[in-house]
Amino acid sequence: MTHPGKTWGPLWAAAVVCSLAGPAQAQAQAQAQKATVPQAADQNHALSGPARCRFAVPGGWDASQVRWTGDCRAGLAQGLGTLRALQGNKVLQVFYGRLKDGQLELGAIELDGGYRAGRFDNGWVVQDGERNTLIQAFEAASDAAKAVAQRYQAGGNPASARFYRQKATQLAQQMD
Amino acid sequence: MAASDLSAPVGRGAANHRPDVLVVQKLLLARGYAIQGGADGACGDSTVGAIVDFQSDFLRKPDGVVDPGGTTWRALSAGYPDLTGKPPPPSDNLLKLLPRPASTAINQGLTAVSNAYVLGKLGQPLLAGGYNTLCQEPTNPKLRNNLARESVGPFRVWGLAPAVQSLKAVMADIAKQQPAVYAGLGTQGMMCCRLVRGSTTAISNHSWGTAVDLTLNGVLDARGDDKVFYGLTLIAPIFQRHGWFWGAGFRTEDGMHFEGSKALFDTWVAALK
Repeated sequence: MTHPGKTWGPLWAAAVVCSLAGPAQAQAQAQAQKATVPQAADQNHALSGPARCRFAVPGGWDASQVRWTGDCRAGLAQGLGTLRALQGNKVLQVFYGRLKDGQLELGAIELDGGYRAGRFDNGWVVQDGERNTLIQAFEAASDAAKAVAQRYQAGGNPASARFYRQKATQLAQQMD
Repeated sequence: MAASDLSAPVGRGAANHRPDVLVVQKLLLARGYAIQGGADGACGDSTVGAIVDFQSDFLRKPDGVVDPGGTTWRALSAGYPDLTGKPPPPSDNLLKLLPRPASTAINQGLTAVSNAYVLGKLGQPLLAGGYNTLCQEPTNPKLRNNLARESVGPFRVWGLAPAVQSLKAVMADIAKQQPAVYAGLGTQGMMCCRLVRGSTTAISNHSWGTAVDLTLNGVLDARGDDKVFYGLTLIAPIFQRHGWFWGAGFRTEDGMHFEGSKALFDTWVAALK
């Protein structure tokens, strides 16, 4: 994967503050192993984030620095968007997809050079063996990237909008 | 329940404690065995059928029961240490990214089979058309008559019968030669009649069940980034020896994808009923 954010430092500084983040500067440093083995099945089921928009975080993520970019309803993240795990200014991992009542529902977690995708249960991908589930997960992920791109475009950040449009294309083309 | 075993038998006429049933159902699903309604903790006909189906791959007389510590349990739980159906912990090493190999270094002596060629040999999978972006089951009777659904070792697939047999032989060699990779292998399917993404006419080459997409430790290699997981480079030569073409050699890199080369495909066509 190519992450064109290396030259977008100023954009990034603003992004952390307002959660309309610029492109991931270091998504390539995503740590695949973190999202694999549940230490406790429900530890990530609890909601994180600001009181006006709470959300569950994917299994294995450190909940202390996760940002949701998307809609909220009744104080819970809802619909298409992204969850980004941050470490300082770096984006470690990104979930693209759909949340329902603050819980991860369908989508893909981008890792270094790969994806974990499908339906989610308690923050973990459920392996149901259905190829259609995977196809739908990448469709949701792509739609989420498009939705985030539109937010940036509307917010006057065309560079980040372009990044997420490109990401939407990549996600859409993952399954042949 | 012990972390590594069932508390009581699960299956036909068994105790079927809900936590045990859930574990068995999740492991069956993770291996590609269908259970109507998914993992719900209730052991009905669909779950018993899936157990029998699973046992038929290695038992002469499947009985539809998973006993604690028994042969079926050991086979079912192997490779899934946390018993949730989630794949084994990843190895940094196997998921290490490498630049995709030069086209001259892979698929040596093999030719990718074109969509048109397969279409000419096997015909339309959906006789009445109607392809869309989701997988549909084929309606072509000859194709349907030549499909097989069975375990190839680390997972279960549904595909063209001779392709499934060939894949089984590939997996047996991987188990012997690259056991660490074998332990982490999974699949995202073989048979899937659908359009190529973004096209209104081109059919996916999964539409005839002659290609397979793999996962490594539950992770799909990102398509089109010109990088591949190290673990895939370890098994690609084994696929090649069996005549399978690796998608890392496609114009758009597709590292998770393997399909029968033209020569291998021709042998499959000759073997069809």
